[in-house]
Amino acid sequence: MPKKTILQALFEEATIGILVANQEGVIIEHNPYIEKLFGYNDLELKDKNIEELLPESFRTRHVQHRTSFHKKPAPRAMGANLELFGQKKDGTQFPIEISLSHMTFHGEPYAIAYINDVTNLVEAKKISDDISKIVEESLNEIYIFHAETLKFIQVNKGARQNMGYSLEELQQITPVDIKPDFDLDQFTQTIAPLLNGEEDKLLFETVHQRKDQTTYPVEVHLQYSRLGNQPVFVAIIININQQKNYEKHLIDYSEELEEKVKERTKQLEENRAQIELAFYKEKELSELKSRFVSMASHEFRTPLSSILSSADLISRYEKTEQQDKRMKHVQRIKSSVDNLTSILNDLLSLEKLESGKITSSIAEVDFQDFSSVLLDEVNLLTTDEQQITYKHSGKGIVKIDQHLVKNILLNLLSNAVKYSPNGTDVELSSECNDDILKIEVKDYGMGIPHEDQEHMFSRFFRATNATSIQGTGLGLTIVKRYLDLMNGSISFESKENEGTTFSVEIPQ
Amino acid sequence: MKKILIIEDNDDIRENLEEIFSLSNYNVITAENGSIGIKKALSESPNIILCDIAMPVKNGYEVLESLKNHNTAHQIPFVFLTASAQEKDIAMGKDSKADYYLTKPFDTSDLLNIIKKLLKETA
Repeated sequence: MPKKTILQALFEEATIGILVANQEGVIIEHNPYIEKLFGYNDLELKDKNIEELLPESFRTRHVQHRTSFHKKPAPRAMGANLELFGQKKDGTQFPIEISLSHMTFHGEPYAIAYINDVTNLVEAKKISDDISKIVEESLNEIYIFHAETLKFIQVNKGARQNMGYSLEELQQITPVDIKPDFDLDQFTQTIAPLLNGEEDKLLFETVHQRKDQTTYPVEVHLQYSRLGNQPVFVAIIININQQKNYEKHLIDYSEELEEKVKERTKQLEENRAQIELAFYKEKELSELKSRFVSMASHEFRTPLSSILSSADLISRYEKTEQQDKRMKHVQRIKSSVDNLTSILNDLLSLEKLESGKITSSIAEVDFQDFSSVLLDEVNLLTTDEQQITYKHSGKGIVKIDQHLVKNILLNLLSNAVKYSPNGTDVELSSECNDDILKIEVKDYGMGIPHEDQEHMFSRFFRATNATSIQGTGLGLTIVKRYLDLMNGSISFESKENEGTTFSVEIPQ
Repeated sequence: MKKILIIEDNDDIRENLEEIFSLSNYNVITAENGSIGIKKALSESPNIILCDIAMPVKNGYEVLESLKNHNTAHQIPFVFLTASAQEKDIAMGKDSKADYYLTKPFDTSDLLNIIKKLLKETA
C-alpha cells in the first residue's frame, strides 16, 4: 500500500482531532474529527484563528503560550494538564487534552495540535475524587494496609481522630499494634483465608487501643483489595461500644429480671407455705375446738346430771330417818364435783404447760419406794378381780421430777385399768441404767384402733372405740408435755382387743 | 303401777333415776349397758324405756334399732336421756324413732312429766 494513502487515511480517519496552525495561530489544515469536536464545517474552520476554538477566558493566555512555543518549539505530550477547555461553535465548553508538535514548511514554522475530548476522563476523575472524599470523611474508621508488610497506607479522618494518631504515625505501624488481643501470628492466621481466597470478607469483633492507651470494642469488616499495584487490605471498623453497652445493659436487665422472678417466686412459695400453715393451724384449731366442745358438753353434763338429780332427791327425803339417804346423795354430789374439778384441773394443767408456767425439778429418788407408794394410791381404782403387778431392774436411785412422774404414771395406770376388763392384770415395769430410766405400762384391754394411733397425743382426742367411756382426751397430751419437760419421750404399741403397752423413757 | 326400764351405764345417775322413779311410784328395772337393756326390755315388757346413748357394749341407738324392729317391743315408748347435747346430736336424736330426746343435766320434774305424758298418750 502506498505510504501516501496510509498517511492520508491516518489523517482523515483519526479519532482524534488534528490541526495545523501557523505562527499567527491561523488554522491551515484540519482533519474531519476537528469538525466533529467543535461543530464547525470545513469552510468555517479554514483560516479561523485557533484561539476561537477556546473559551474567551483562555484566549489571551493561549496567545502567549503559542508565541513561547514557536520561540522554542518542543513536542508536548498529553495528560500534563486536564484543565484545558475547548469551545464548540454553539458556545458549549468541553474539557480537552492537547499534545503539540511542530514542522517547518518553506521556512515557515507550523504547530501541529492533537486534540482529544476528555469529558469522560474528567467525569471519572471527579467521581473518583468524590469517593475518596466520602471515604476520608466517613464517620466509620477505614484503614488500608499493605497485604504483605501490614503497614497502614491510608487511614481516614474518622480513624485518625478516634485513634489519636496522625497519618504519618499510622504509616509506621500495623493493625497488630492497635489490637491488644492479637499478636502477629494470630493476626496473620486470621487474615489468611482472605489471602488464599477461601473467604471474600472477614467479620470479627475485637478491641482497638488508642494512642492514649484507652480501648473500645470494635467490629472489623476486612476485605482483600488492590490499591494501584499494591495488594492491600481494606478494613472498615465500627465502634460497637454503644452496642456492647446496650447488650450489657440488656444482659444486666435480664439478669435483674431473672433475679426478681426468683425472688418473687420464693416470696410466693413462702407465702403459700405460710398460708398453708395458717390454714392447717386454723383447721387444727377448728378441730380442736370442736373436740373440746364435744368433750366439755359430754363430760360436764354427766356429773352435773348426777349433782342435779341428787340435789332433787335430797329435797324429797324430808324425814329425819332418811338422813343416811341424804348423806349418800351429798357424797354423790361431792364426788361429782370432784370429777368436774379433775376435768378443770386437766384443762388448767394443759394451759399452764402450754404457757410455760410448769417447770421440772429433778431430784434423786428411790424408784421402788416411789412406785410402791404410787401403787397403793392406784390400787384404790382397781377392782378385786384386777391387779397391778410391778417389777424393777437396774439402778434403784433415779433422777426424776417426782410430781411429774407421779402424774404420768397415775395417768397411764388409770387408763390401763379403765380400758381393760375385769380379770386382766396391768403390768408396770421399770429399768434404770446410767443413761436412761425406762418405764412400761402394759394392759390386756381394748387397745387403740390402728387409724387412731397417730392422734393419741392430740388434745381432746378420743379413740373411736372409747367414745362411750368417760374421758376428756387430755390425759396423754399432758403426759407427753410432762415428759417434754424432763427431755423424756413416750411411745406405745397397741392392737385392738389385745392390749396396749406404753413406754416412757427419761434420760438420767 | 307402771313399769319403767332405765338403761344407763353411769352408776350414780342410774341409781338416782331409780330412786326418783321409785319415789314416784314406778316399778323400776335397770340395766347398766345396752345389751342388758335389750334383754330386759324383751323379758320384762316395761311400759316405757329411758335410755342413755353413750354406753359400752351396745349404745343407745343400737338398743333403739333393735327394739323398734321387734314385733312387740316396738310399741314401747322410748326416751333418750343423754349428755350428747350438741345441735347435731339433738337433730340426730329427733330424726330417730325415739319418742323423746332429753339432754343431761335434766330437771327431775320435767323428766317425770314427760314420762307421765308419754304413758298417757300410749294408754
